[in-house]
Amino acid sequence: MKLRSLTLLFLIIFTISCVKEVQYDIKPQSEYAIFTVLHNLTDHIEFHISKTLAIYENFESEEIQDKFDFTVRIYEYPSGAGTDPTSGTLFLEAINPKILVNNNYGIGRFITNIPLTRKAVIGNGYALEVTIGDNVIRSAVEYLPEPIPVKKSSVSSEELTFDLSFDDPPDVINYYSFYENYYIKPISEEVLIPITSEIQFIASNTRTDVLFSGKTNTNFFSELKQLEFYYETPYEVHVESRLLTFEHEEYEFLRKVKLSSEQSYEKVDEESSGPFTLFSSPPVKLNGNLTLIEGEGNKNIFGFFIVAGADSNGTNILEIDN
Amino acid sequence: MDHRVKNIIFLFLVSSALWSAEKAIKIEMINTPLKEIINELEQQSEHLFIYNEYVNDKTVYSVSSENETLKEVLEKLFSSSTVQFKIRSPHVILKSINEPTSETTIQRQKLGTLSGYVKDAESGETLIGATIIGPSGSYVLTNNFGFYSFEVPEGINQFTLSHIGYGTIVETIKVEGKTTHDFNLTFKATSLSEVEVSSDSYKKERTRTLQNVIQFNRQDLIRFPALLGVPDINRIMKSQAGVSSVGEGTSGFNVRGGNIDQNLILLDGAPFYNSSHLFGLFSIFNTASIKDLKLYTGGIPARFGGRASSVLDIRLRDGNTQKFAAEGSIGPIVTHLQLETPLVKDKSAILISGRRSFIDLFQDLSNSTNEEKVYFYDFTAKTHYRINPKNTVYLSGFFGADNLNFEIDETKKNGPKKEKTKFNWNQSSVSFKWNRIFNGKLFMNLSSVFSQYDYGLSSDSSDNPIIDLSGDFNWNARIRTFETKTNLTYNLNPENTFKGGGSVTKHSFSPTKIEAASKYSQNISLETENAVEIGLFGEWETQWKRFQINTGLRWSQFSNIGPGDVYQYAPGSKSLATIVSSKTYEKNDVIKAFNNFEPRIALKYKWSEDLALKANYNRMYQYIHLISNTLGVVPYDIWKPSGTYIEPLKVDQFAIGFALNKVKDKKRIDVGIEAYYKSFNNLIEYKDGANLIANKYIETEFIPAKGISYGLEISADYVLNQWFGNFNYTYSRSERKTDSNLDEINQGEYYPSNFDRPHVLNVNTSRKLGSRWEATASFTFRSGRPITIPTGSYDLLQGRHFNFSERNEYRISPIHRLDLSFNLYPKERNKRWKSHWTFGVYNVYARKNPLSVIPSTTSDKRTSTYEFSLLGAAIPFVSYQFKF
Repeated sequence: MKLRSLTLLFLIIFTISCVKEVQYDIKPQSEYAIFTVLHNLTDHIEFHISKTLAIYENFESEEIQDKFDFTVRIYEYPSGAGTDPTSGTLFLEAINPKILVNNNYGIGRFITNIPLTRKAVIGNGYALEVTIGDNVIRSAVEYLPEPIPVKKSSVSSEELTFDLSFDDPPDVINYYSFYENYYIKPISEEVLIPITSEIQFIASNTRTDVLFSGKTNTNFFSELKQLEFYYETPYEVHVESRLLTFEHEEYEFLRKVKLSSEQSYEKVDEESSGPFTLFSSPPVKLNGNLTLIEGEGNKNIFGFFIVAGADSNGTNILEIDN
Repeated sequence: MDHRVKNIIFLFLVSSALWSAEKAIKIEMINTPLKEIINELEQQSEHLFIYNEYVNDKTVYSVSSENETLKEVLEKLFSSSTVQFKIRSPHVILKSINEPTSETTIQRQKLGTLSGYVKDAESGETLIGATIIGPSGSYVLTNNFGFYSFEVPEGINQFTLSHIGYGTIVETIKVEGKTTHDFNLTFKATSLSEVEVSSDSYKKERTRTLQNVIQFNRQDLIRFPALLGVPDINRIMKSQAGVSSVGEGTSGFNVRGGNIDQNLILLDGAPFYNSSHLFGLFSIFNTASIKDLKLYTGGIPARFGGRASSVLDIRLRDGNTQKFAAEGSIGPIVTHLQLETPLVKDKSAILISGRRSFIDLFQDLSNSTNEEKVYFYDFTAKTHYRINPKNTVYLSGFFGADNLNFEIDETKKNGPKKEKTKFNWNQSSVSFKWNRIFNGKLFMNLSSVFSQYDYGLSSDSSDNPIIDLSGDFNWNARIRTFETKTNLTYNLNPENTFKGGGSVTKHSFSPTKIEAASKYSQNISLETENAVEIGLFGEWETQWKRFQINTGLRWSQFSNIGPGDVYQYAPGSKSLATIVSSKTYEKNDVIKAFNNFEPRIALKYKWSEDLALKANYNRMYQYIHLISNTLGVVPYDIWKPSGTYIEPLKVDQFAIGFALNKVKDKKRIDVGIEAYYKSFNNLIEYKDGANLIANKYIETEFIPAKGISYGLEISADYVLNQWFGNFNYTYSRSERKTDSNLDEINQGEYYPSNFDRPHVLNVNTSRKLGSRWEATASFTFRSGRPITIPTGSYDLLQGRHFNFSERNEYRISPIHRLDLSFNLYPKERNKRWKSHWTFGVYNVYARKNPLSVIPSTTSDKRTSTYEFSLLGAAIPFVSYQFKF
């Protein structure tokens, strides 16, 4: 953020600032954070679950477990079925799904990919239910919105950008996420191997349609992620630009995720982070549409079950130096 | 009550008791003319006697005393005479019962009016708040233009004049009908004697003022230890009772639990929206050009309106009408020069003052590129012309700017990437005033003011070796205010003054205009919002026996006017998703109008010569609002007028207290104790993670809120021989509560505001050290401000996040700091050239006063939380001031 950069530079020059570590006498409450996305193009869901841990030395965190048992269920509701979560039919059930990534930052994060037997249907409703021991967490029923079609997409290997064009419907306020998925395609094969986590990128470029103002053939540009690719055999890198469409609450949540990221600093010293706090806004709580319906603890669960409409216009080859 | 508060009250009661013991007088004079006895008593008691020819007749008196107080001696002296006395330290007023009473005077003797100005004898500068005591002991004060009007019996009358920092004079004036006379007071100004005078300046005499007002003149302002040697009004304000802030180095201040936008900051009547340079490190006002400064924190008179918590009324000097004068200072950060000269002797003068920082010189030395410049400057100019004794016109202007130009080169870090960024903001104002005296009793001030605040931000990455996608842009915003107002003052007699007037203000807010400078950025232009504010007021100030009352009523009318689009939302929480339609208003269409009455009353009961009880109530409405949810205010925060979705802020304040003023020999203590309660309605709070930058639908981010604040303030100014200074302690609380079922903070319960600091203690003390040195120490202690801290962490989506406590549930460590300042007055070889050096250390013991907490993901195994201190070291300073 430019404004913050300016503030920072000024304060580096003119202040004699410092930071010191402090401890607070706070016993942490054990809570869960859950995030996953379901849309009409995907054949699996990437499920993230994390457990809150203490951050002050005077209270020991619970032992970080290599794994813990949990069950993920998604219920499906026909279009127009309302919001009663008990009326759905089982769309997905995964008991103790295989953990792909755990303990990523030493704070107990678990990621799993759960395959779907069929793709989600535009217009239908979906609700997530997660059972962990005696705790049952359930989302609101979210209906899968009509996706906005991508008319054209391209990748610039020189400028390291991608862009996609679409028609923003007039008189309707839409919320979008623009992002790219990366695939490796071995030269000798026809298969595209996904190499990035889609869910990690979804929050990177979210927008309301205020900037597109109902225009046709409106474009969105963005920088490509600066990734490094390693593959033993000759390969191409394919990039698929996707356009996700979702509701206001999903957009607000993803926006707050970005804000929340900015409120935590990877390196704390007087030059890199302290001055920013002069201009920081109140901390953001990432509560979404998930509620603890059985068990002890905070009823508002961190995280969100996003149900979105998705479209893409195929992949483009990114010319890189192998 | 907190036991610390009790202790402090106890200390004051003890000190008051000690002060009440008066100096013993030894006198033996038999059959002596009264004038000779008075001369002797004046020497021994250090009181000045005021009397007229009815007292000083040819009667001789006898008095004998070995060891009695002044009061006892006077009782003896006049026990069998027709003379009555009244001790009003440092004066004793004598009155003969043979003297015609006011009623008989009206019957027998015509009343005349003496009016005019009180001026500095050397420079011709008019003096604000000078005291003129008339023949009967009644007194008047000069107004903000140094004007006074006094109704007295026609004939020869004696007047005693005094003013802070000036010697007391007694003049005999023959009053016939409407008589005009200007008094000239001499400033006690020779290097260190200036310090001696300064000690006088602490006699603010709270027993005399009706309102809760903190007043400073220039001598007060320059004594405070200053960060990097730059005297700073904002910093001085923060050291006063009832004034708080979120932390060191932040812009603005909070008065009695009010947000920083609730302070009406006026420079010669022009409102200021940003009173700081460099994000709050320095005040935008140059103390060298300030004549007088008043901060009203309670009992705010009806003539002020538009802000809800306080008025900071700053008056510029008029300029020297007698001779050319110059002064300046040289410091490590800022250098200033001020020139003033008469244009027409005794009638007209011009004053020009400028400051500039020289930070950019250090940047040049440190091999910064030419593009990198950080500097600020400000200019003040004022001229006036006294057309005739009845008409004077004034024109003053201010321009202050900050420029920060940076070049960010991240080539080494992320590949070729360069970016130039320019960031600037400036505040300007112009004030025109016309003073007209109609008949010696009616004083009119007609003024027109213009104030403008601009800020700009631009990004230029055209020099990048590769294209930059962050999007070049030029961002501009502006606030403009035009105001015309009239204030009429009718001085019926010393006991009754009427004031009335009105104002019309046009506000214009252009919050955001972003012009895309590359295809990767987009134009964003938010509509300019316009509003017209009208105020009418009437005030009556009267004295009746021991009571003094200032009561008034203000009527304010505010219209938010077109052109503009107003979005209509479905019932429930406002968001983009709930917009159902929009309504377009043409130019000058009234979008929303508000009418309100604002009653004000301030009472004083004079219990004795030394003790006054006070109470006041005021209701204030505020129609323009700073939209900010950051800890410190930043120049790019926007202001919005009340309208469809922002109700006017309403604040009611009640205060009660007493003032005690004790004088003995060269000792003086002036104590004020006051308790207050304030309620705030229609405050603006913000949704969690609110987006306030360039947001066309910004009302969707608001949550209506209310608040309360209450506190007890104890303050004292003192002069104890060579020691002088002030002390204040405040216990206060400031709380907020969201007022919506849809969006709540802390489940809709009261929670402390960001600047809620229950205990605040400030001590400033100065002492002369020999004939050339003066030392000042300033100590402050403040409870830690409320903070929201992380209570745990978890990983989600883009990395680590924190779960946080309730809003402002915890407190940061307390703040305390000692500053030292020394003034050295060199031997004067040239009578005209006066100078002194100022040395000092800010934050002597290098206390790391925390401003905020930072959650961090430093370690792989655990997270950490840090307290950040902006000024965490001892900072020495030196500066050289001169004038000739």
